[in-house]
Amino acid sequence: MTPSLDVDLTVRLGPLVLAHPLINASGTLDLFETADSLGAGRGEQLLQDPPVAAYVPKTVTLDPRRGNPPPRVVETPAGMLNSIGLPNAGLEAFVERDLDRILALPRPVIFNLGGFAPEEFALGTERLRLALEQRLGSPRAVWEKAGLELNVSCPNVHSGCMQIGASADETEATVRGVAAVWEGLLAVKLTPNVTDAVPVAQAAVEAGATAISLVNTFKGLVLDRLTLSPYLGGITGGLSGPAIKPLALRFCWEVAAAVDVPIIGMGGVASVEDVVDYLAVGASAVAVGASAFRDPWLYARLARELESELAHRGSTLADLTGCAHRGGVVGL
Amino acid sequence: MTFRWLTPADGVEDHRPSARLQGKVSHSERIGSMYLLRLRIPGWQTAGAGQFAMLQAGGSSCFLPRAFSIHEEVPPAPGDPERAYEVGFLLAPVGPGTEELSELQVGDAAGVLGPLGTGFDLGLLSGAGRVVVVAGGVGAAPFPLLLERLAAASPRPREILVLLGFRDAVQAEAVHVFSEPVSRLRRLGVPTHVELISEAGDTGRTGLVTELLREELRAEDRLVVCGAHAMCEAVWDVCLDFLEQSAPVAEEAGNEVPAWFSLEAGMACGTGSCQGCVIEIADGSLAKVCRRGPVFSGAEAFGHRRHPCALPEKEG
Ligand SMILES: Cc1cc2nc3c(=O)[nH]c(=O)nc-3n(C[C@H](O)[C@H](O)[C@H](O)COP(=O)(O)OP(=O)(O)OC[C@H]3O[C@@H](n4cnc5c(N)ncnc54)[C@H](O)[C@@H]3O)c2cc1C
Ligand SMILES: Cc1cc2nc3c(=O)[nH]c(=O)nc-3n(C[C@H](O)[C@H](O)[C@H](O)COP(=O)(O)O)c2cc1C
Ligand code: FES
Repeated sequence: MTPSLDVDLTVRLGPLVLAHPLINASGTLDLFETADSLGAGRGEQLLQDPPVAAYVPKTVTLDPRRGNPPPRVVETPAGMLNSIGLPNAGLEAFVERDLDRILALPRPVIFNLGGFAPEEFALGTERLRLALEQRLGSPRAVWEKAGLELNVSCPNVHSGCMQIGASADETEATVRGVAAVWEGLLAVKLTPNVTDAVPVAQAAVEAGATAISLVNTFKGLVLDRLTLSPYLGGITGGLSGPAIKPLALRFCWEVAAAVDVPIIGMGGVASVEDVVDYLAVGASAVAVGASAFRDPWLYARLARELESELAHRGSTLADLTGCAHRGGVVGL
Repeated sequence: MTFRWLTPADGVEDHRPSARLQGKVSHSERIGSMYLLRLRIPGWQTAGAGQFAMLQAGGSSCFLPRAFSIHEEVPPAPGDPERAYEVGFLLAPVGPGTEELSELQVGDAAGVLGPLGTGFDLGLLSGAGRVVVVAGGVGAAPFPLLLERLAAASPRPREILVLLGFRDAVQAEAVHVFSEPVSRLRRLGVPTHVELISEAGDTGRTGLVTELLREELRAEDRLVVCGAHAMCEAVWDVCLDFLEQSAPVAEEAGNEVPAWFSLEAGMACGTGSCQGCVIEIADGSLAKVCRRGPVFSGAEAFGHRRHPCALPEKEG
């Protein structure tokens, strides 16, 4: 154990209280699979003291999905392209098999829901809410433990998910339906596959979103070196990792300036410098995706490094958050 | 607005919890077209034969680590304060990740996540009449450790046959990685034979390893197989043919040739998080190679289907 440096890293996302700003990006950390992989010692540690300030499970959809055929991942310069395609057992099986153990984690949870039409999101949210109320008792207990992130931005399903997030109107309709049945943290995860994410973010907030997550992956293509045909089973894929960081940071910068709700920033975060950049453009929380494949404790390490940074400067998290919009840092 | 970026001169403390172990190269050797890389790894926990680790060279220019079978493992020397294992890997350089690792020198660092995945079930092999190892090229990697574990098992298999298929004489130099485990088994009284075949025909017999298998396969054999996917499928076809010839009703009776295959897939995490490493298995479902595998039984992976099989249809 390292001594506490007495820096307050607490982050509030609506009713959720996070001990620090670092969380995982949906679809890139399965705590239970990882714990099983790592075996008794480190695996147990992972579940007892998860390295994330809140746990974001993989996208769940109403109906089960098989996902895309292999191959599903390939490395690219400073990143990777994936065409996973949202495989999941469906909401009913998720509630039955996974919900209890997820709620048993000593962390807030931000459930990630996917769908292909506005009604689907509302229906899924209602079912999830009922299941949570059954388990946690009061609605208030639910909001303090569980938030929701709407994935309207997956580029790897060809039947509509990203189309919602690419349209301000569809996003607004989707969020409105969900906001009617969900009073907790309601984050909408936006796609960077648009010229300007600001109108979509504004429409989401207008309809009741209480946070904006961005970005999902950038749609891309890799060819098979030998056959010169598309390499991935899903043909195109989503690009993530350090290669996308400046692109993603620009989206966060623009959206943070335009809306008044907390931002969950992500895209290419690999180091504490990246975390600082996202906070500086106005993110309240920072999600790490593909870079944590290397080490499932990366989130915690980055939180510690952030703590050291702030401690040594005598700065607060509030000083840092959004400072890029206020003329940047002083004293360099 | 008092935030200022820190520099190392500010003496930032290093607090870094990690699941990634820091390996240090203790031995690196070229063997024909492959490399034997031994890492000294404090914090390593003993591996099962057939498990793998995700490796990344220190200062790597690759984004993701790469998967490698555990080739050999030496427990910590008594009195080693770090309790470090020496873990060996056999690498075939085929691209940037494997090339970086093969260029590592003694003393260099490598990040390690592992051991991971589901390996061979020793219980199903140790009492066998004969264990037949079938390996193609760098598919030989997991078997020296498996043979060491079989030598230490009780009971031991009555006999062991190692069939190795290589591209050419240079690649076939990798046969040396079997010297130690094979002599150990022989010393212990387990008759152990190694046979080579190469496609180029510049060493031993000319042809494919499946030809050797077709001649050798017996009813009491248990097979362990690793190599290119096409080789694995061809080996399974030999098994199915054998089953049909020796017992025409066996398939109906649910009888199966006891064979286990270590399979490959491109991986991102190696720990079940990304769902990137799936392959289609016999029941039509997609299975994660990093969790359910890399070792699958032949029936589980290939079922009764013949190859070449149709490519799965692309969705959407
Ligand atoms: C469980 C497991 C155990 C393994 N054990 C070993 C071992 O013991 N020794 C060993 O040497 N290897 C082993 N491998 C294989 C090893 O992981 C790969 O060879 C390695 O990841 C290659 O990385 P690279 O950067 O060198 O090559 P890459 O450039 O990543 O290429 C490697 C492979 O990726 C595919 N690929 C990637 N991009 C493209 C593209 N654009 N077009 C076409 N194909 C592409 C091809 O199949 C290619 O052969 C194992 C793999 C698994 C899953
Ligand atoms: C393998 C993989 C699977 C992903 N699955 C999902 C998912 O199920 N739902 C989702 O909202 N985003 C998913 N994403 C996107 C990430 O959550 C994140 O938005 C993106 O990867 C950018 O962050 P990064 O550059 O740190 O990886 C996935 C990303 C990867 C690499
Ligand atoms: S490699 Fe990520 S799930 Fe298997």
